[in-house]
Formats: sequence, structure tokens, C-alpha cells
Amino acid sequence: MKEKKAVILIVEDEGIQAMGLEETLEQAGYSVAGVSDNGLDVLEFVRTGDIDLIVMDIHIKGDLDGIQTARKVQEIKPNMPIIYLTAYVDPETTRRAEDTSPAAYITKPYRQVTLLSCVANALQRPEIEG
Amino acid sequence: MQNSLNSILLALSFVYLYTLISCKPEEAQAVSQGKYAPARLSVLYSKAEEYIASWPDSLLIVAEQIKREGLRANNKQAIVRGERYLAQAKWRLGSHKEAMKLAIKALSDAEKWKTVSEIPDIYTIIGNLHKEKANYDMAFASADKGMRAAQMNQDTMAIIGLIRLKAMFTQGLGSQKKDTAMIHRSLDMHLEGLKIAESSPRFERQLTGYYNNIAQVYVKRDEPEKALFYVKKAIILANKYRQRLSLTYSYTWLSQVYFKNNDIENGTRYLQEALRICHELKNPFREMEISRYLYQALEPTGDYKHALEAYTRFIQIRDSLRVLENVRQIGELEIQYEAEKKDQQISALAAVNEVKSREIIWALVGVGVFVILSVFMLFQYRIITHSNRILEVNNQKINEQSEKLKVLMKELHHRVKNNLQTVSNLLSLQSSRLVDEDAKQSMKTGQQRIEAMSLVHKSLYSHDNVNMVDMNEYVTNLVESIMQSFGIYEDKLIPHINIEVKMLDIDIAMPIGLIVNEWITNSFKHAYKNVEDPKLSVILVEKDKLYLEIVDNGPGIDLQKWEKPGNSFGIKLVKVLARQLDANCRVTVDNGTRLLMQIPLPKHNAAT
Repeated sequence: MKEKKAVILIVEDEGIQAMGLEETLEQAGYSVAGVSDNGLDVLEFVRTGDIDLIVMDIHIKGDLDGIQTARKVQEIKPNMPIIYLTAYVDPETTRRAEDTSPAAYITKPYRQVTLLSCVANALQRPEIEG
Repeated sequence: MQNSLNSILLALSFVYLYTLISCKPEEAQAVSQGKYAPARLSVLYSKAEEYIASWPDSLLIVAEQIKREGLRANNKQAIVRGERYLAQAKWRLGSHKEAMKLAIKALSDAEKWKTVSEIPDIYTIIGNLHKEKANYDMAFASADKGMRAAQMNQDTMAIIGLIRLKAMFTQGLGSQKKDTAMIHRSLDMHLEGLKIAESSPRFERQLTGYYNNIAQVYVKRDEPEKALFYVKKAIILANKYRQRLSLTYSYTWLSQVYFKNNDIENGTRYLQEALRICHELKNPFREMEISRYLYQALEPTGDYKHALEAYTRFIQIRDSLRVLENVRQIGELEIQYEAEKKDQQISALAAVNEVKSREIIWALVGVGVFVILSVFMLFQYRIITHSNRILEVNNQKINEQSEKLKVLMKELHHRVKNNLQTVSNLLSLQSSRLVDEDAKQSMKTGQQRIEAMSLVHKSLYSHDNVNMVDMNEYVTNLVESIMQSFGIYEDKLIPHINIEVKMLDIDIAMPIGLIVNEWITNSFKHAYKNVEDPKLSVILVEKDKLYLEIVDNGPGIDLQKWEKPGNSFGIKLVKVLARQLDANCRVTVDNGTRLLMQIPLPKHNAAT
């Protein structure tokens, strides 16, 4: 029986970086559900799609940043693993991000191996019974 | 008819109104002050002047009439004149104490009602009263006050009278002190006054007194001829104007002249004649004086009987007049009056002072408030100035920090540019070690993309605005860089570059630069292979949106490939970047390939 590929949503407003992420994840055997550059599209994806993990940039287009989008996603799907992939390293942003209990917080520039190991780890996390 | 009547009435009304308006209050006051004395008063005044010189009893009656008339008509001048005449009458009748009381009352009323024309004459009476009691200090003081009042009123008649008064006092005092210099001075004063009095017939009445006084001086100086000269003139005028009191003086000095010439008989005769007139005039004071002269004249002659009679009369009158006591009382009366006047003045001054003090207090309060306000405003000003200074310092710090940031940003862009250049070099170096041409080409393409990004940072580094890219400079340099990388120079192709957008934010400039880089690289790779005269046009304009147009004259792109890029990373990249810009792309093929992108302008873009 073919193991179902985990479906990952990429949230990144930099097109080239999104392309790079998509290629990295696909080459690692993951399925990329799509690339979104704003919080509202993410919520639509989460409501309608079958997403296993979200790789979220914090600085994105629209009124919601990545952290706010993550909170909204957790209202819909509390167990959704979210990995932050961002250039922001300031304490305030990291504190806000930590409040959403992400699966990982990776700062750019990132190493592919770091990203892939965090993704694998997040996908193996048991579901928390609510 | 009716109209004429109305006109007349109207005219009369105007006249009445005019009269009413033009009747000044000063005129009413002047009537009250007796400037325009009614006929009856004028008659009474004339009688009084006649009686002054001779009939003090009659003067007393007329004075009462004048005062009554003044009270009835509310004529202040008449009231004061009446009081003055009463004082004068009492003086002539020897009631010195009463005379002083009346004179002080008249003076008080004159000052109160501003009937200033009476004041010199009143002071003349007062001065004479003092002089007759040998109180010369008070006499001179009164004469001075009278003179000041006369000068203020420009009353020449009064001035003449007061000059004579002062001269007379000087003579009297000189005689008392046996000071011949003073007596000489009094003669000079008399002669000065005489000049003025003789200057006009208007003052003729007053010459009698001058002649008598001058005669007296010459008697004292033992110059009987000169004394006779003046006494004769005095007698003529005294008879002319019925100045009987003056006549007694004239006779007195005439008798002295006779005595000097050893003519006792005539001397005595004239003294007795003077005595008789004084008795008729009921002037005990003059009677007393003449009795003394008579006694002094008769005693050396051995006529002791008449000498004793004269002496007895002198003592009796003197005692009856109670001279010494009167001196003190009369003096006290005036002092009391002056003291009361001073008290009134002090009270008035005190009231004025109180008002002024209140004004001063208010002024001080105002000044105080002003000072407090000023201090407060000064304080506020200093606070504001201090705050401004702090703001200035802070602004300066901010500006400095801003400048530092700019410098840092520039430095950052510089380093990024250099780092990208390093990466490009590394790729180039790596590429040179590759054998596979495809691999080499891929490296070169990657190198060019990095160059496209590096040029953005180069532009940011070169300008003051570290967030904005000079698009004209950037696109031109980019196109040149691409052409050089393909070994194409201007001898083969002159690109048409029209960049009407001056500056763009880096977030838009970078993707546009990468799109331009991809598309032109694609053109150079594929479009110009078999084109003899290659053409390239890059246009970037701003209207409601940014419009990017890239046109070449190659064979044209495969539109299916554009729709479905497949493995074409370049087309994928263009689409991804277009999506990043929210741009609308349209590719057409018509004697070449035309890419048209419509890129919405972000709100924060400062493109100009």
C-alpha cells in the first residue's frame, strides 16, 4: 500500500523562495498543496483542503501576518502543525510566535537539512486529544 | 397765514434754544460773584466807598445792607463785599477783635466761593489790624498774601494799595526799631508805588495815602520841606474825595512840619483839628495816636494842662482798646483761622492722598499682577525654550541617527552588492571548471540573475534614499550587463530604453529587474539567432499602473510554452515574479515577441 504523501502548504510572498521551498519539499517526497502569500488564502486552504502541515513565513501580504494567521488556523484546526520559516529574529516576534506553540521556528537563511528534519518531526508528532 | 405763524414760532424756538445753549454756566457764576452787580448793589457799593474814608458808622449800616442784598440774591460777591465792609467799619471804629473776626469770615467765604477780587482788600484790613497792634510779622505776612492774590487777579488798584501797605509796615517797623535804613527803604517802596499810582487818573484816590506816608517818612528823616510838599498834595486830594481819615493823617504830618519849624501854635492847631475829625469819625485809635502826638508837642512847651489832657485821653483810649490783649487775641484769631484753613487743606490733601493711595495700591496691585504674569510668562518662556532646546537636541540626535542609519543602509547595500558579486565570481569560477556546455550555460544564467540583483543594491548604495531604486539607471545598466555577457555591443544592437518611472521601491524594482533580466536573456538566447538587425525595446511607464513592455524582433516565443512552461524555469520565474507583483501579463507574437505587464502601484510607492 502506497503511503500517502503528507500535504504541505507553503505560505511565502517571495516567489523565488516559494519556488525553492516547493522544490525542496517535493524532492524530499512531500506533496505541496500550494503557495499562498496572504493569511485569508491560507484559511481558505485549511477549511477546504486536506493540509497536514503549514510552512509559514511571518512577513506576508495582507492584514494578517504569519503569527496571526497561525492563530486563526488553530481556531479551525487546533492540531495543525505549523513551522515558521522567517527572517525575523527579534525577541518580540519570537515571543509572539512561541505563544502559538509552533512545531518549529526556523530563521533564514536556512539549511535544507534543517527544514526537512523539522518537517519530518512535525509530521510524526502524535495528535493531541482535545 | 398759518404757515407764517409756524415759521415765526419755529424761528423763536431756535433763538430760544440758541440762547439756552450759549448761556455759559460761567456767566451765571459771574452774576453770582457780582461781576455784573445789579443797580441797587452798585449804588450801595458807591456809598460804602465814600463812607470808608470818613464815616465808619454809616459804613457799618451800608455794609449790612450789602450783605443782606447778597444773601437775598444769592450773590456771593456781594455777601463777601458786605463782610469786608463790616470788617473795615469795625476796624475804623476801633473794634479790632470784631474786625478781625469779620475779616477772617470774609476771607474764608471769598476763598470758598472763589470771589478772588475781594481777597487783596481783606488781607489789607487784616494787615492793618496787625500793624496797629505793632505785630509787624503778621502784618507783613498778610500783605504778602494780599499781594499774591492781587497779582493773580491782575488787580492793579489792589497792587498799588498793597505796595503802600508794605511800605507803610516797613516804615512802622523801622520807626519801632529806630532803623533808619528800613525807613529809607520804605521811602523807596512808597516812591515806586507812587509812580504806578500817578500813571493813571483811575488811581488818583489812592494817591492821598501815598502822599501822607511819604510826608511821614520825610518828617522822620527830618526833611520838613519835602514833607510839606507831599502833605499839601495829600490835603488837596483828601478834601477832593472827602477822605476825612486821610485828612487826619495829613494834618498830623503838617503839624509835625510846623513843630519842626518851631511853629507850635499851628502845629497844635492842626493836631486838634485832626483830633476833632477823629472824634467825629469815632475812630478811637486815631484819636489815641493824635492825643499822643499832642501830648508830645505840648509837654515841652510847658503847657502842662493841655499836655496832661492829651496824655490822659491817650491813656484812657489805649486802656479802653485793651491793646495788648487785643494783639494776642487778634493774632490768635488769624492763627486759628489759618490753622483751621490748614486743617481743611490737610483734610482735603488727606482725602486726595487717600484716593491717590488707593490708586497707588491699585496701581501696585496691577504692577504686582503684571510682574507675576511677567514672571510666569518668563518662566513659561524658559520652559518652552528649554523644551525647544531639548527638542532641538533630540531632533539633532534623530537626524544624526537617521544619517547614521542611512550610512549603515548604504554600507549594507554595498556589502550585499559585494557579497552577491562574490557569489557571482564563485559561480563564474565554478563554471570555468565545468566541461558540459549546458552546465556552463546554466551557471552563466545564474550568474546573470545574481548580477541583476547586485545592480539593485548598487543603485541603492549610490543614492541618498536607501529604499528607492533609480529605474532608468538600473535598467540601463542591467541591459548593458546582459548584452556584455552575451558579447553583444552597440555596434550590433542599440537597445531602445525608455524608463519614465524615476524611482521605485526595492520590493517592486527587484522583481521587475529579474523579469527584465529573464526576458531579455531569453531574447538574446533564442530571439536573435538568425536576425541580422536585432532590435530590443524596454519601456517602463507609470500611469494608473506601471506598464512594463519588452519587445524584440525575433521569431517569437512559443505561446504554448508561455501558457504551460513545463521545464522552462525562466518562464516559470517570470510568472512567479509577476504573481508576486500581482501583475497582469500578456504575451503576444507579431514580428517578434511582446511582453506587456500591468503592475499595480502599491500605496506606499514613492515613484515620481
